[in-house]
This record gives sequence, structure tokens and C-alpha cells, in this order.
Amino acid sequence: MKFIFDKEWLQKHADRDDNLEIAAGSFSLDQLPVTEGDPSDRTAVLAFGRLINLCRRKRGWTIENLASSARIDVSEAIRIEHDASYVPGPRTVYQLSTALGLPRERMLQLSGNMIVHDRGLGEQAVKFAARSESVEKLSREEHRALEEFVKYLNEPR
Amino acid sequence: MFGIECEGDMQGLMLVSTAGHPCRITEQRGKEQVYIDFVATAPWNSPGLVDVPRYGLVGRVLIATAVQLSLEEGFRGRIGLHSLPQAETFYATNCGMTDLGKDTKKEGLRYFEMTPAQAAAFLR
Repeated sequence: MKFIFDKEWLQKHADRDDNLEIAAGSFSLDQLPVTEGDPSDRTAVLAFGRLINLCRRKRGWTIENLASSARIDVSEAIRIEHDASYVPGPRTVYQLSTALGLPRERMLQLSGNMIVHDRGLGEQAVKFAARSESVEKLSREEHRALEEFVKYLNEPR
Repeated sequence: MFGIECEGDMQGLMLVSTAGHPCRITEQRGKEQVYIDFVATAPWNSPGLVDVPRYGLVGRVLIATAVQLSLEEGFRGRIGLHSLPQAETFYATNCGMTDLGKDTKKEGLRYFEMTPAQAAAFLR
């Protein structure tokens, strides 16, 4: 196989390609990193939906705004917020985490995409889910619950 | 399988198939292509993992190799792949591939395909 591109061609595109990821193929999914898991702890998944709901409302976004920012389907965004049995795929979790500025790995755990051996996360998720009833406007209590949970998610383990 | 080796280390790897993955874009639906099952740089070349990647252009060289293989196989440069979210910009913008949207059969990854015209533009 004789290459049809040369050094000049590569130099021409070097700047444009700088700092861009290239991973492709479902084998690459471990780069997220993701493992198969049975989301037996529905409370964590419930907390994931609540967290997305509160973060969206805190920004004053509609579900359509959220779906557009995260580049996911509106129907999927609705299911995430309202269906505690729904486990979104790794791509969706990645996109939502990026759009809302939340830590990706913890979000993958919370959403049921990764097996978690983290009692602390489970306890915090239960506490958060119990304190964050969904209402139209973010209450002071919800706001506090949200701030505390996001702070916990961002803490190094 | 293709790899890029430099200074005794594997800098990037690509696994391809030349059968079993027909094209999906309407204008070339059903035609043969080179499908990239897997492509990745070594961790020390990944901008998401290190501040200063050791080698750049690994992706471009590997994708160009896939296009070249497609030309040699008589597929006129047609290639396809499922991109990870963090690499979508590279395939859509820098490689000029067509984004055919999320593929629910591939963990929701977006599927990208390159036509002969896009392959020619990519190699310019």
C-alpha cells in the first residue's frame, strides 16, 4: 500500500486537527468509560432524572432548550425527567453532562450506565431524590438540595 | 488492522471491515464501503487525557488510510463509522463526512459516512 498523502498535506491540516478527539466504534465506548451494569438501584436513576430536571429549571430552560443544547431528542429528555425506569445511553449522558456542566463519570454512575461500589453516592442520591420534589419553580429547599448534590458529585473520590 | 508506530510505541490503531456494512446515504445506499470498526489514538496523544499530546494528526493519517483502502478496493473512497460524542466535530467538520444521526443499534452513537466527492475533498 503506497500512501497517497504526503507531508505537505498533513502540515496543511495540522492546525485544524489540533486538540480534536478521534475515537470511533462501539469498542471505543470504554473510553467514556462505561461498563455494563444492571441499574438495580432505581433511586440513583430517579435522582439522575431529578438532577437533570433541577439543573434545567435552574437555567430557566424548557425541555426543548435542554434537548437542543445537549443534542438529544426531546422525547428522550422527557423520559429522563419523568420515567425512573428509563436508563439513557452513554452518549446521551455524556451530552447532558457537557450541556449542564456536570461531572461525566459520576453522571454515568448515577444514570445506571456504570456499576457503582460507592455507598456514599447511593446515600447522597437517596437524600437528594427525597428532598427534590418536582414543582414548577425551584424552591429554596430544592435549590439547596441541588447545590449540595452537585458539590458532592464534583468532590474527588 | 492498521497501526501507526513511532519511537517504538503504537500511537494509534484502526480496525476496518471491507464487507458487511453497506452504505446508508441515499445516493449510495447499499454500495460497498470500508467500515471503521474502531479507531483511537494512544492515551498520551489524546487531547482529552493530556494537556500536550505527544503526536498530532494520528486521526487524519488513519482516516486517510481508510479512504485509500476504499479506493484500492474499488469503493471510490466510501467509508463509514460510528463516532464517539467527543469526536463528532472531527468527523463532521474536519473530515467533511455526512452525519446520519444516532444509531440505536450502536449504543446511540452517531453514524457518519463519506461519499466519493467528500473523500476527494478530504484528500485535497
